[in-house]
Amino acid sequence: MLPSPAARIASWWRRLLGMPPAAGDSLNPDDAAIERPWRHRWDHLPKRTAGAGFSRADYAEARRRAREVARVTLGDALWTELQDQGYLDVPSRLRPGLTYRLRVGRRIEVRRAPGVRSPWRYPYLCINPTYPLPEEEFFAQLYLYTRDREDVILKVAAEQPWDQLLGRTF
Amino acid sequence: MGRILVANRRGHQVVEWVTTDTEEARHSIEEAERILREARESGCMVSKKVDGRHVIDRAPFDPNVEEYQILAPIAGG
Repeated sequence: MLPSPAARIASWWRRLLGMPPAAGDSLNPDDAAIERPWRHRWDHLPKRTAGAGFSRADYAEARRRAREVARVTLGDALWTELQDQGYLDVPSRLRPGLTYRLRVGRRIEVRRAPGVRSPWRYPYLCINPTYPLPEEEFFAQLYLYTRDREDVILKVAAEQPWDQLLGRTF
Repeated sequence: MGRILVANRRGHQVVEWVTTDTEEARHSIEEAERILREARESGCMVSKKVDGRHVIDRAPFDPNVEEYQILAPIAGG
């Protein structure tokens, strides 16, 4: 079916402003191809959403696929540990005595062994992906960052006094 | 056959390549390499599967790797 004139104009504006295509946009030449989120700006999106045109079914399918890839990323042992206890602990390599407690969709909790000083005043670190991702998928990515690139965590983390859901995941 | 998991708001999408000696295989490898390079140049990190688990990797694209994943850049706040 041909798109309406309003849909054509909306699609044109989205491309002009560097915004991501709406789901199911038949005028988007890349719609059937791989979506490369690093090519788009996402600042305009409301928190914990994936963008215009994302239906309830799209969210459900995205979360299902995210769960699948999170399990592959972590491996069966860690995945089972996460399901059993609801978090994964990653001991710091750069700050001995600190442990990062990661939970799906939430801020990182920094835990200290007795007598160990934290570089942060507050116990929670807010770190988001720069584009929207299902929260289980981002959890697995954040685990890799924390374990393999703690230097990046130290560089970007925004310390916070309380726990909260992340804003860029859904 | 290898694959890249491109994490995005759809959960993930998959780019695959084959290592047979055909024109189509060469094209699929070039395309996979291009996507990985573009993502890295845009600030993404890349992990690869090693012994059944993913580790963050800084090496150039290797068509013999079983699985890559593109990780979103992260920011505080």
